[in-house]
Amino acid sequence: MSSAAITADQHHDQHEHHHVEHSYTGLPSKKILMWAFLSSDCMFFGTLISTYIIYHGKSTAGPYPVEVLNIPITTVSSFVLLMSSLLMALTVAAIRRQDLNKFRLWIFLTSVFGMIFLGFQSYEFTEFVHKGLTIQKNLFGSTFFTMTGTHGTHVAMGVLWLFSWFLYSFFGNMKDKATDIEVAGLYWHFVDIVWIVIFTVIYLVEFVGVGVK
Amino acid sequence: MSAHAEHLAHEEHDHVPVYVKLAVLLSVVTAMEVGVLYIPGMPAGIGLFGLYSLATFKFGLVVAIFMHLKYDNKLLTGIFFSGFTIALATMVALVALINYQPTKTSVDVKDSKQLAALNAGDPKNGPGIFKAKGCVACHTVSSIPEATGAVGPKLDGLAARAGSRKPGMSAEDYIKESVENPTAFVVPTFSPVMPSLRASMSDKEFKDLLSFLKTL
Repeated sequence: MSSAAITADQHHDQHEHHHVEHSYTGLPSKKILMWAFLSSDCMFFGTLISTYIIYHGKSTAGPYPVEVLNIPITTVSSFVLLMSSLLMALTVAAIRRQDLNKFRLWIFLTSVFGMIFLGFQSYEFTEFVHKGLTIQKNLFGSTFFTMTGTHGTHVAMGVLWLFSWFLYSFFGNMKDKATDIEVAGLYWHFVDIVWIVIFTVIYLVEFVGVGVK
Repeated sequence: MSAHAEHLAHEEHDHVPVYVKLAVLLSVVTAMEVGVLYIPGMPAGIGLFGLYSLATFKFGLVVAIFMHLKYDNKLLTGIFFSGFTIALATMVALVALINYQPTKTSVDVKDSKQLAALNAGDPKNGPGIFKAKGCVACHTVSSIPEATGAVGPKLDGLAARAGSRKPGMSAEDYIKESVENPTAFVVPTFSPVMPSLRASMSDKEFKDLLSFLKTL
């Protein structure tokens, strides 16, 4: 590397934090925007979950939730999504340390775990259709598929987002990208907390007092 | 590396063991949640309280530590929880409004067995309705002395042949259609003269009558 290049690099490093646009609050604008988006997404999922609750038990034809929901399988897929959150946190820690190898490993595994979750969901949806539950079948089917399908779409967007960063890290400069990765991470963790709520309200609560067969 | 970046990197390094411990804790809590369902004789109220508490605990931990709200500027916490609070309050209000109306008449069906019980009529009330609606004038049923009419088919043994009247139609659906919409299928050699009496019956009477006809 020529001395001119070294100087340019040092210069770059010294002013690294200037590359991220900060608002007058001292916080990166992208981060504020992501939190505002997640705040609004709470309302979006809030409407879907309350619609499910309101129509719960109002289906005039089967199958009903207790007849199709599979607790053991969903427990495994919930665990996978939960662990992907750990991998995402490790991804953000690695990019902040500028440890590119670890960054690539963790972000790759995070997207793989996301894909495993989606695989479980595809399996679940297919099983339900085989058992006669479609989105048109009854109120349970309509509200269930709309809600979990929206969540699955969020996961799919997250997988694409994270995997794009994995690929980008081989071709682009990751030096001033810590904030971008952190913002993608916030989105990913949000998808996880929405699932924490769905797993409890839709899956677990259904079997309280009934027991799992 | 700038002082700012160094500070960030150092801070992150310290957090990694915290992340790992948190993941272990979250796994344990998830196992407890599922475990609640396997405790025999667990009262529903305690089970629900336990499940919602554990979910709230998990939610809080992920938001505080994985999403860094505990370490970050409080403005971000404010932005997120303003939307979250509106969402939660709207959910509670909506569900309360719909589910706890004083005039609530709708039923809560948990599974197909409950639905079947709800839809099943009482066949014991059938003969009374069969007479009251004037069916006896045209149909013969040996178990009802007054039923001696011959304008329409004799109904003894109806359940056995109802399933084969129309291809692809179950006995139950065929009997239902015959009362609701009598001219949809007319037994050969008979005339399409039966009136639709469905409107003259309550839902309860209709279900009772159908359940009686199925026993013939």
